[in-house]
Amino acid sequence: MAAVCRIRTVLQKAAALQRLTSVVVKTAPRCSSTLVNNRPYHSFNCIKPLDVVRPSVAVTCLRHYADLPQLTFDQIEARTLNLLKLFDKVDPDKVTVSSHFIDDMGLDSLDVVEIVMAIEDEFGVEINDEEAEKILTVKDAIELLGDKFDVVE
Amino acid sequence: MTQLQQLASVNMKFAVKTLYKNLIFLGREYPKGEKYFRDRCHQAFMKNKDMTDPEKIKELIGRGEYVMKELEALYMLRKYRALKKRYYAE
Repeated sequence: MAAVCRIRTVLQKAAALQRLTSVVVKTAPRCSSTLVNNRPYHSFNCIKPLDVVRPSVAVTCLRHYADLPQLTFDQIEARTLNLLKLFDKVDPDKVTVSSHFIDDMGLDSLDVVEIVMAIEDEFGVEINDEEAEKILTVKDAIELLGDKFDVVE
Repeated sequence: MTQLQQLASVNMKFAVKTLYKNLIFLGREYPKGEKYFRDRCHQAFMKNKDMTDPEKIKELIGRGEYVMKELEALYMLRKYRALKKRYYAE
């Protein structure tokens, strides 16, 4: 019983202290006649208001998260060609920048849809129907991706 | 071919391609493997590549959408079974 009482008093004291410090921080101007919690303010004067550390130099936040460095045309080209060579229907030797999907690589329009899907996955972009319609050669794809990522030569 | 008809056929082409895309995307999880599904899907689309009648194409797209729903149901069932297996010994 005694232990419980002691714990209670300790808790009460802690709560009172917490209240008190917050009040002191809030009421910065010192005025002895002010009443705080129905007691004159000067009875707390022994407690100094908390020092707030203010940095003298403005800290600028430069965060890049997972931002990647700017892509270059060479990178886009290499990744696109690599992706095409992994297609099981495509002959890896036939893949060049200027090759046409349907005429040179012997694919059909549905395969082109799959290639567009693979490009979307590889680069994490979304290619809508109108844009997808214009992709007929490897070069088209690279140019479109260049537009999407604002790549300048 | 009038302009309207041309527009309709272009839209139809997009619809077919979108359907194919969605099916391939769903097929990635197919139990028998992605390649199996992809080959079948490709074959099924190629079988009707010469279709020109818009009504017929619409019907076929409808069938494709039905297949999509079936695939979703299949995955849902698979998930349900996997969950159930964790709770009850068979």
